[in-house]
Amino acid sequence: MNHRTSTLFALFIAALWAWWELDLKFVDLFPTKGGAQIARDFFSAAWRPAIDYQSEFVPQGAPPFLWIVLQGMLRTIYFATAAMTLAVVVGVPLSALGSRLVPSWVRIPVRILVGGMRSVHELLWAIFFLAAIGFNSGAAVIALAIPYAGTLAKIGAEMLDETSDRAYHAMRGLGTGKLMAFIAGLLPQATPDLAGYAFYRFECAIRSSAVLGFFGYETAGYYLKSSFENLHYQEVWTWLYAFVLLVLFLEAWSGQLRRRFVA
Amino acid sequence: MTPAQRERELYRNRSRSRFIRASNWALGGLLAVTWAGETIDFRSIFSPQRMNNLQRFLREDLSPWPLRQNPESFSWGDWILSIWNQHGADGLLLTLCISLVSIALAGVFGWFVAPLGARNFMHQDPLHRTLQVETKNESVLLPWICQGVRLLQIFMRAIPEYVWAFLFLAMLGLGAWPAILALAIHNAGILGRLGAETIENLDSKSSRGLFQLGASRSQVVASSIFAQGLPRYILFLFYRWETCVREATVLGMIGILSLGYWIDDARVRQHYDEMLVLVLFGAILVLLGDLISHQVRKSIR
Repeated sequence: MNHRTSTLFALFIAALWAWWELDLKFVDLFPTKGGAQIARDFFSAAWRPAIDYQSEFVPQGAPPFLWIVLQGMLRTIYFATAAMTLAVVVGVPLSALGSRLVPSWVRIPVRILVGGMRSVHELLWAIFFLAAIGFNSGAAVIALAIPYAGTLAKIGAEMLDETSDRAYHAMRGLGTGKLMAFIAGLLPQATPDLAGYAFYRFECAIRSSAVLGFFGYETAGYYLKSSFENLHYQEVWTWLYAFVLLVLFLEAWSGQLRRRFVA
Repeated sequence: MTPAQRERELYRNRSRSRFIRASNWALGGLLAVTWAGETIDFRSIFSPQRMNNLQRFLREDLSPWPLRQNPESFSWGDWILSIWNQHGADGLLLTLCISLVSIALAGVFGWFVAPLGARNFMHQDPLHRTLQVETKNESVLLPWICQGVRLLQIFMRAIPEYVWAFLFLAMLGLGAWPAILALAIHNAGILGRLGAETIENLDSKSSRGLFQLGASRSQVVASSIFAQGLPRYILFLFYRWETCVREATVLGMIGILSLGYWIDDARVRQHYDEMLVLVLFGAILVLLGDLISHQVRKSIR
């Protein structure tokens, strides 16, 4: 048995053990009475997403449903954009400080810091801030930004390590300072990869900021949750499809960008 | 022409992509709207009231409850051990188990669906053999199936795990399944896509050879594509497992008894000291997961 097979085998055994430990049964995958009704209603609504409020009692002067969807999606994007801005501003310098060009007495503490930022999930940071300073959109954005900055710093440092450092050392040899040699000799080569990765993380940030809605911030998750709890499944599907459309759009955009960068 | 003029002319005639420029403008606009708009409120974070809250939180709420009650007989070890025994160990075990079952399910489904999403393979003329082959009528459908599979994969991964879990919880009731299904669906979407891309980028020599010997698509998949693509796929699999551990922790907050449940429970009871310790337990699990995954990926690379 080669190394890969044994690795897969070990994972399989671990999963079996976990299955047994969780006492999972396939029978429980089939919902019981109440759940089955919800499942039927929910999935049959998939073919007809709502284009207007499902509720019969819509207050006078309420904006059209699709307008609410658009606003909710935009707010989701704003949360994600703000978080990504902070993540890039903090993460890129940290990735430089965590790369192998930096002496180990700086690099190792930076990597530990980055590991710490990454190891706590953004929603846990969010409830931490919720407990510490109360309900505030800025705090939620910072909560999102902390693990995202950490991840960007970690992957960025790996990318910088894999970049050829010949131009950097050539510039150093000519007497350029470390910082300038880094900015002019190393960073430009790694920029397309870094930008591509940041774009991908932006997509993730949009998902995370939608989930923040479950904690009361007015992003997509907020509306999705209340629609679901009011049994307005068609509205839920509208939100889900809006999300898929946004991801499709981002994918097309980043695909085009990648083609232009590589070509 | 002086060198300076020549330089300026070269600069003016540099190749520029309109698309990239438009993207930069769009990005700038998005940043401006985000930071100038009122959706995100940074200023009031520093209001005196919130700063008071923060101060109280850091000074009082986070210090261990028994320490506040009875400073003489307090021992850090006993306190942390009691939290570990109460909910910490159980929560961690459940979190780990959920992540393992989910990644195994996602890995299997993602892998077997991956060839269906590979565009160069799901083609009337797979891998562009340029060899005259009999084309069956059904194979006209293949590119459509491929697009359908890709769309489904996008749907699976576009919806956050948390939302999937929330929806399934209402249907399946309390238990581990909603979390497992949520993680498995989201990650099967991602892994299926990554697997398809891996297959598209494989060296096609051996597959072409098999095709020319008259092998069918499924035979080529079983004997050549799967064997060649697996090493890279395992790398992705472990990388996604890291994420699964993270997400499995948090999924507890909607009512599945993983670590997140007890973290949220401590928050609701306002036992923030306990919450901090549980979050740290979770962080240690995540770091351990990252470490294992890193070692495994290094060893099979």
